[in-house]
Amino acid sequence: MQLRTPMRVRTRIPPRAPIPPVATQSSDTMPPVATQSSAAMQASDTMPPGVATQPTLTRRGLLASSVAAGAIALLSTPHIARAQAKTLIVTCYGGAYEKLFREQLIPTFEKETGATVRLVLGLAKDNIPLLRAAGIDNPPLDVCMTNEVIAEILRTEGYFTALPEDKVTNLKDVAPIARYPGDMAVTGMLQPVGIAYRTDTVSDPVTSWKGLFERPDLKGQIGMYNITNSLGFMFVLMMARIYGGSETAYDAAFKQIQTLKPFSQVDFSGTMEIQLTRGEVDVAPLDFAAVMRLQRQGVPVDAKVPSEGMVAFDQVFNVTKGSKSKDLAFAWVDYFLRPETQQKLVNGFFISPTNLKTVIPPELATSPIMITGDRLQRVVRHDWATANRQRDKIVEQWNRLMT
Amino acid sequence: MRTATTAPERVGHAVFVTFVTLAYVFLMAPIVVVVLASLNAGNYLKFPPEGLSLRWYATFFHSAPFLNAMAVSLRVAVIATILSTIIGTLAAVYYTRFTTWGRQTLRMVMIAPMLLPEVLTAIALLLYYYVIGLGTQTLIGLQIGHVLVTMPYVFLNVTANLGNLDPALEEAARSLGASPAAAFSRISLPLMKQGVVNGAMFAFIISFDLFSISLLLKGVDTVTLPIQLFDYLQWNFDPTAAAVSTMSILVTLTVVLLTDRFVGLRTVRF
Repeated sequence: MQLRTPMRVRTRIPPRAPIPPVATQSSDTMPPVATQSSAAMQASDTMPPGVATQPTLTRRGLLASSVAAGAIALLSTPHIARAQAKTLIVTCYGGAYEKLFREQLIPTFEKETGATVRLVLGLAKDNIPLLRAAGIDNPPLDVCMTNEVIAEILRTEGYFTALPEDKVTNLKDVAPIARYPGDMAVTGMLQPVGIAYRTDTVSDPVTSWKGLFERPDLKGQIGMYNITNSLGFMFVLMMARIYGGSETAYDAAFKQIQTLKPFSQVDFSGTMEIQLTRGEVDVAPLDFAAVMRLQRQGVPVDAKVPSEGMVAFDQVFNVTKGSKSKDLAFAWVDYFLRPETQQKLVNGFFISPTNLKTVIPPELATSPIMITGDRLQRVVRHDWATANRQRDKIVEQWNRLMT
Repeated sequence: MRTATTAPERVGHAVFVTFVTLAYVFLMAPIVVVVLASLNAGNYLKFPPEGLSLRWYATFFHSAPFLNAMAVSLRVAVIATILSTIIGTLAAVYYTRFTTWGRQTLRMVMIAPMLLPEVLTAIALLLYYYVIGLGTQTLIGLQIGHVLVTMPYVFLNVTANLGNLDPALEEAARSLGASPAAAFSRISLPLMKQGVVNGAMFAFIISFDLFSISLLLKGVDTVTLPIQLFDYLQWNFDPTAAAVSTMSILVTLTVVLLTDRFVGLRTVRF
C-alpha cells in the first residue's frame, strides 16, 4: 500500500546497465565512507576468537571470508555506525531553522545525552518518498518534524510509534490542542494565521474571516494563496467550516471565495509578505510570526485574530516505529518540548510554544498576536485524514473556479 | 557571415539580428535582475534595488548552512565530473570504435538518464538504494545519481568528437610501432580532448545545478546548494537568496572561463 507510487514508477523504468560500475567507482573514491573501521570491527566481532590463527586456514578460505566480511560491512554499515556512535537522526528545515538547530538546540542536547544528532534537511514533503522507499522497519530517520497534513498520511500508513508519557515527561505541560489520541505525536510549535493588514491604508481592519467577504472597499486588495500552498488549502477548509460545510462539503466556501475574484494568488507566504510590504495587497491571511518579523523591519503591518478562530502552520513531532534509537528519539521530543528550548524558538521565530510553561519574553508577551496559553485553544484543528482524501477534488475545483 | 546585397536579404538579416538580440536579452535579463537584486540595500528581494550594498553577501559568507551546502555542491560536482568523464569517455571510445552489434541499444542505454525525467530517475534510485541496503545515510547515493545524470553529456560530446576523427590516424601510429596504449594516449586522446573537456564542463555545470536528484537522494546532514536555496525561500524572502544565486552563477562562470582559458572552447560556427 505505502509503496504504491514508487512501484508504479519502478515498473516503467528499464533496468539500467550503467549503475553497478558507477557504484563501485564511486565508493572507491568517496572520502566520507568512513565505515571501513567500524565494518572491520564488526567483522572481527562476529568471528569466533582465534579463527585467524587456526592452522587449517587456507588462502582460498581467507579470501572467501574477507569477501564475506566486506559484503556484510557494505550492506549493514549504516546501522553499525549508528549503534556504536549513538546517533540520532532528525528532520529539520534548511536555512534559518538549520542554523538555530545547529547553533542553539543540538549542542545542549548532545552534551546532556552524549549522542550525536544528525539532520535530514529539507521540506516536510520530501520525507514521504524517503520513508516509503526505506520501509517501516528500516527508517532512515528517528524523529520526523513535519506538518500534520503530511504526518497524518504517514501515521495512517503505520510509520510512527506512540510517545510514552514517562519518557516524554513534558507532554503533561503541553496545551490540549497539541496532544494527539494515544500520544501518537505531539505538536511542538504552532504558527497561527490571522488576517494581516497594512496599517497605513486600512483604517478599519477586518476582524473576522467572514468580514473578508463583506467589505466592498477592500475588493481587489485582498491577497490569496494558491491551493497548492498549505495555507491556501487550510483557508478553503476554514471557509467551509464557517459557511456551514466541512472537510467533505466545501461548495459554500468556493461560492464565497469566488465573490472576491479577481484576485492574484501567491505560492509562498514569502511572496505574500512582499506583496504586503510593497502595498500590492492591503489585507491577507498571514502567520503572526511573519507579521511580527515584518513589524521589526519597519513595515506598517499588523494583524487581527479572526473571531471564528485561527488556522495554523504546525510542527508535529513523530518518532518512527522502526527507529533503532527510540529512547534517544523520545528524549529529543522531550527536549524540544522543554520550556527553555521552546523559548529559544519563540525568540528566534516568534512561534507559539505549545508547552504552557514556556516563559514568553516581556516585549512579546504584550503583543495581541503572540498566541500562547489559553488562546492556543482558538486555533482550529482540521480533520486532515478526511481532508487529505478530498485533496485532489478540492485542488481540481479550485483550479477550475479560481483561475 | 555573407554580406546581404538584395533588399529581401537585408530585411532577412535585420530580422535575424533582431531575433538573436531579443533571444539574448530574454536569456540574460533574469541573470542581470538576480545580480542587481543581490546588491539591494533594502530588506526584501525586489527589483529595482533600493540602494547598493554588499550586506547580503556578508550574510551568505556568515551563514554556515549556505557555506556547507556550497561545499557539498562543489565536492559532489567535482567527483561527478571526474567519474562521468572517465566512464563517459571510455564508453564513447568503445561505442565508436568497437561496437559491432547492439550499437543503437548501447547508445540508448547510455543516454537514457538524459531522456528520462530527472525526478523519475531520482525515485527509481531512491527505491533501489533501499532495496540493496545502501540507503541515503551517506553521500554515496547522491553521488551515483549525479554521475548517472551527467555521464550522457560526456558520452555525447566525446562521441560527436570521435565521429569526426579519422581512425586511420591511430592505425598509422600502430603500424609505425606504437603500442595500443601509446597510440591512444598520444594520438587519439589529444585529438578528442575537445570533446572530453566540453563534456566534463557540461557535467560539472549540470551536477552543480541538479535539483530533483539532490532533493530525493540527499544524505543525512548534507544538502546541496539548490536545495538549501529552495528551502530558504520557503521561509525567507530577503536578498540573501539573490546573493546565493549570484555566487552560484559565479562558480559556473568561473568553470567556463577557466576551461576556455586553459583548453579553449570550440567556436560554434553556423
